[in-house]
Amino acid sequence: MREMRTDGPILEVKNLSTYFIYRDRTVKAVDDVSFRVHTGEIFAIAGESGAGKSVIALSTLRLVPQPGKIMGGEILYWGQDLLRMSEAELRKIRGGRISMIFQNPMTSLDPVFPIGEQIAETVRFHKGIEKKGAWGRAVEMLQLVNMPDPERRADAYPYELSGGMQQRTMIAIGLSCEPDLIIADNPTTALDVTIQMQFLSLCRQIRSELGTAFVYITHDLGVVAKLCDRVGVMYAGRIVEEGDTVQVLTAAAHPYTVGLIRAVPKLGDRRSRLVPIEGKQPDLSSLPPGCPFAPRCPMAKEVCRKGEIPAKPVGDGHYARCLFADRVMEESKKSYREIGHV
Amino acid sequence: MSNHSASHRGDTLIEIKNLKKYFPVKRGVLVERHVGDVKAVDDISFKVKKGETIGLVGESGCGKTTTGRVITRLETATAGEVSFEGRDILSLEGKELRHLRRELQIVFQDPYSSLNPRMAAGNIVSFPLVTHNLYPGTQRDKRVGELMELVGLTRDQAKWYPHEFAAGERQRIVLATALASNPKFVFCDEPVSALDVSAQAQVLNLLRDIKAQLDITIMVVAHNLCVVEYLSDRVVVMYLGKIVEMAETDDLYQRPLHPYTQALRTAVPTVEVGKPATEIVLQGEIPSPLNPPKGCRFHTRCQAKIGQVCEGIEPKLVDVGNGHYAACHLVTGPSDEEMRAAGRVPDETRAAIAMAKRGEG
Repeated sequence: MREMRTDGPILEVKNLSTYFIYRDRTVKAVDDVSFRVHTGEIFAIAGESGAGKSVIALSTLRLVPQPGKIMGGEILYWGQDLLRMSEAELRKIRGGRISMIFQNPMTSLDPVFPIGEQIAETVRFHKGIEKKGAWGRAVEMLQLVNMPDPERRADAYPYELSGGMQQRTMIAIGLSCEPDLIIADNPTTALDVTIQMQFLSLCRQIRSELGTAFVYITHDLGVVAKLCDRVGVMYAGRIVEEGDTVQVLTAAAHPYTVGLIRAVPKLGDRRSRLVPIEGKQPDLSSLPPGCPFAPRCPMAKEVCRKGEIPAKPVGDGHYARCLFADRVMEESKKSYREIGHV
Repeated sequence: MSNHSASHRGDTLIEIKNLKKYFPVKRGVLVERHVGDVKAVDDISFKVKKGETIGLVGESGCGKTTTGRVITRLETATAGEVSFEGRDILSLEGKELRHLRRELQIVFQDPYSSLNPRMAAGNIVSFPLVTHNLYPGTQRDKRVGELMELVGLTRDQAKWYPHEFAAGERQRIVLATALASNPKFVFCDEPVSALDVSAQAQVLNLLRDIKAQLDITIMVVAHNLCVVEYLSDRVVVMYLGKIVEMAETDDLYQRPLHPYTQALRTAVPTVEVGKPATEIVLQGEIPSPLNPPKGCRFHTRCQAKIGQVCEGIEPKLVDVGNGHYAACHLVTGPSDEEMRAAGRVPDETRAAIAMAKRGEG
């Protein structure tokens, strides 16, 4: 196994902006986003659809489709800027040292090859291992992801597997070259809850056994609560709050985070009414000045609609882009003490 | 709204008896051979009470949606009975069936594919009125306006086309359409699973409000236990075509009896943190409904199973008090006849179950 470095962040995204440029408008899908991920850490990027979560994932490996363009910023992988690397250098990292798991396993796997072959192909390309050895490695990987009967299953075609097994195969491909970072883009949306549970515990197992770090993209704060160490909450292309998962979920400092938590039903709590977030998501091609959440925010004031809102530290490694972050946090803490959630 | 029927809240509105729905699997090109059945719903019985919201929950392939589709006559049953206000509805045809459809309405999962993009919202909502010839003449526009307001939209929005609405608002239009003909029963099939969190909360609240305002019975099917519990008075938990547990929502939350319900509960990711980690990670996959396991269908994944008892004898759904039903040998052991029929000595089997229970505690 490759020697693991433990110093410094494994991934540091600095001021990343990715825009989609059309003839008549520019959609700012990701706007000035910064975050860090350390070895063995599971970092969540959470938010609703259209917030720019997946574009961050694609930008990290320079896979943004046309007409998307990375406008600026740095993506440092062990201090090396992936945005300034040649395509050939990047190809070695992509799939080898950083791997990606997509949302829908059925469309990510090639339907005409057995899954063992698809894992072996990755190993042959990145590790230069000959055919037989690569096949052995494939079976080993399937075993690692708890695939039942791995020798036999390596010969199976994707359509012969259930959704959960397909997603395990994707992880097996992702893990086959011993990456130190896995970017998982909504990996469990297509899965049933009990199978999702297996997937989450597999991620935890991989992290603790191999020290792999994850960037875990999800729309489900429940998954964040169950799996992730830290979370960045995205809204309209920006990270509006970032911090330790427990901190963010028990003492949310941004009104959007509070809104997300209040909008989901809790088990065993039928009495309290859900509080939906009013209004709709802003058009990312013509964002209003100031805080992008201001039009939907229950506590927005005139100052919120002017100028950039800086990220304000509210705790140890806990930031929120809100002028009233302290007040929001106090209220969150209070309601957490009273009713058990924000 | 006037209510002519003499029935009251709490009376049985729909009764499902021994309902089965098998989908035949065929092979062969020239001569089709019947090679098996997908047992989507396999011998279930329950009652839907008038005025309640009943929730059906379970994972894919458990038969929850099929059950709803059979009740609303979108699928034909393989066997069993469904009666609506005491009348058998599975044999209705033609005019009578059309009449029935006015009473039983459906809200589908995806508000994008269930609205015709070329029709204005108002026309979509008035479609059932046209079909069933309700609210003729000038009353029709008035009714459409009322419905739009009922679901939290404005009268003017009746002129809008589906693409002009956000996802949550589209689901409101679907709901308005379902309510147009004053149905007695609305079947909501995964009403919020295609929506974002904020829109989800809007639709869930709306469903609760509508229920409080109208004299209506709702059946909601969802894979998310939180969603089902939030909406329902009573919950039915299904697994592989069978009902495994059924109870009042609060009762089910406080006292989940079936190991599957317990596992489902811990598997639902909730935003609460810092709770003691009593996670139950179920091993293995959901077996194929083409060839479900013998005995208890859940035994292949159950952590509490009692070897040959659960593998050999199918548990019956038994009332354990307060209308709380469970189908599990750990809750109510099999009867002596069932044990003998499975070739087991009753006393020994009972001892084995008692031992397993102690091991549990």
